[in-house]
Amino acid sequence: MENKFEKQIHRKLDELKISPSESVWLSVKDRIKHKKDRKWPVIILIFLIMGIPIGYLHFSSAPELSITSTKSAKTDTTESQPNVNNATGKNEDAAKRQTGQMPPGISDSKPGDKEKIDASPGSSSISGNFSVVRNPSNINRETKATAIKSQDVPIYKHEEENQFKEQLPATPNFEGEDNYQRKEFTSEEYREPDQSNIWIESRIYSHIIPAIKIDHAILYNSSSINQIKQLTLSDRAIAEIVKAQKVVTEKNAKKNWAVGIYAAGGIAHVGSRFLGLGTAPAADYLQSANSSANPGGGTVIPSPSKIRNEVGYAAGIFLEKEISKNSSISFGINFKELNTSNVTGRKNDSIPGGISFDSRSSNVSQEYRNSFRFLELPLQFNTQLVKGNKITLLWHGGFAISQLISSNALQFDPALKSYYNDNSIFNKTQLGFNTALSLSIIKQKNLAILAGPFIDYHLTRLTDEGLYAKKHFVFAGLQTRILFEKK
Amino acid sequence: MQRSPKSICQRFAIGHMDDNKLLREALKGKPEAQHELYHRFAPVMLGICFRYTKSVADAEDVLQEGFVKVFKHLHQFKGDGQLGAWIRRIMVNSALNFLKTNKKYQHDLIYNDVVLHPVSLEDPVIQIEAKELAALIRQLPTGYQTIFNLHAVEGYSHVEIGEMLGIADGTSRSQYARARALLIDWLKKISLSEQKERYGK
Repeated sequence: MENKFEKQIHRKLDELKISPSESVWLSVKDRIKHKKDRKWPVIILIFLIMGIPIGYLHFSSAPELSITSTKSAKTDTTESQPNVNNATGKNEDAAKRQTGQMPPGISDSKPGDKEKIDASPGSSSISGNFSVVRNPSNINRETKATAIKSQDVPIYKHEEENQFKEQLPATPNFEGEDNYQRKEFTSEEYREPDQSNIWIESRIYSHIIPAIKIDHAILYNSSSINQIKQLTLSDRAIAEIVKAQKVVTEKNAKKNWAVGIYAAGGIAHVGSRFLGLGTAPAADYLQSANSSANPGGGTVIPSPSKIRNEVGYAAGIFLEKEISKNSSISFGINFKELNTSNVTGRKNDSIPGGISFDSRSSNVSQEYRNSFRFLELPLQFNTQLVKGNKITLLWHGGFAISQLISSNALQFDPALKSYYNDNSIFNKTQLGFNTALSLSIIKQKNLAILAGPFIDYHLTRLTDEGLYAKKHFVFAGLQTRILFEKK
Repeated sequence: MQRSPKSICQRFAIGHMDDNKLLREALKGKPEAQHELYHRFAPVMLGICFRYTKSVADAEDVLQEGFVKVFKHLHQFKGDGQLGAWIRRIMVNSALNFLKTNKKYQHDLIYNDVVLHPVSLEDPVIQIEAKELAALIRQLPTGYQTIFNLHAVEGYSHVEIGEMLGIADGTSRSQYARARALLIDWLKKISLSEQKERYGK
């Protein structure tokens, strides 16, 4: 029913205009701008996803590395089961595959390879093309450096649960008496009312309170009413105060960085193929074929043992910044150690001050762990794929520059039939690509813990010569992130 | 920083555009047009948002959400009414969503299905300013305040209010009647006290 009172209300309130603070427009502008810019993360994501099959096709078209086998009798260079503490006589790679520790396909060897070579040593089934390992005592190699990521609204605490509710009598008395029994309102907000409205409330309550002869105001207790009466700020001063408060809030809101800790563990693998997928060549053996010249007595060049996958780990810290509602970028610094292993003979002193091992023999063999330690600077793009109340799924992808800071990896000298350490041949600066999925395990106000699988691929070759010639590191496993957000 | 004559002219032109032309320019994504659209309607809309909330800060939050929705759905405005009225509806819906989702207002946003009070037939003359009237309405409990704004100010029927808030139209009527009676009571007392001030006791 529309009567004069409603019309007056409507007309009066339509006159009400309040100028918003500048921060409101800035926030609106940012949000509508981010909605438009959301296409760029999608484009980058598509680019990264397309890069994987394209890279695979590119690397798979590279010439295969192969070696020539000798016709001579089996020597101590043929593969023998190593006397390793944790080996059970089976191919270690196959064992790892069975236990699920290693992603399928990431293996340089197949169970049949060894048998193929041993069974027909004389057959030149594979022809090789390896560079010769130089005499380690005359090492002076040039290293090739290849250059190769709402303010929280304060929770409104009521001292009593039903403070806003009025307790009115069921049948009001319309004889003029005020029978309304109002509860005393002691809410925090109304003890310290919004500064911009103080002048309004002070005028109202200076009228209402003396007139209403009850011992409590509708919404204010007596002490706060006195405070309000004393406050007689001008409109301009109030506007300045509110504006200053908004500027402070805006400054704090801009610091939208989060700090996090990153940790990852998994299997490290060196392979020639992209991500180690597909048929990998048995490129670890150096044997020269001399079958026709001197069958059964040709020169045998000893070969190094297979390079086996080993565990790797990485840990570091990162900074993450929101770029839109569902995506962010992060960069940080990690320490990464990737390991492989060889089977060698006993240690010798052929290189003074260096690491040197004999080639493995049937009598003495031991497992040697080759460690590669990197300092890594990752740059990642993170986006939410699924957001639920309890579970969030994120995708991370990006690049990392790693610097090899130390290594004890062995190279092999067939002339001396020994292993030695030489880090100068490695491409110390490595560019890598990584991708990961994370599921939120714990999601609290200032803390989030995420975990999930990852894969890290070094686009740069480890070295162009030696035991790791033209190989790339692949590191895959599980990663976890702990994010500390300051709000 | 001196602004180029071209940009000054552009802003002058945009500032004097009618709503439909401004809308077309804003739909093209021109930042000046978007800013002008916001600038033209924001003060009135903030006044609307202010009626539903208990503070200017909350009203600005509602305003921000409302304008983001406005720009997101601007292409859906078919021109079959005033642009201001369309934006106003979005603001009211944003305010209602804000009240439903904000914990601060949860306790008070309870619509009790109580016995219908007789509607006051009084029509006092409102002698206070718009700001004071808005502040007075804000003193009502949030549930009363919301229903009063929707019916008396926005002009929604009780059936429509019932649908919007998920309550029976009878509840809307009774809550409105109570809010109206309270407001009239306060207005009378203000008027009485002002008279006493003017003329002495």
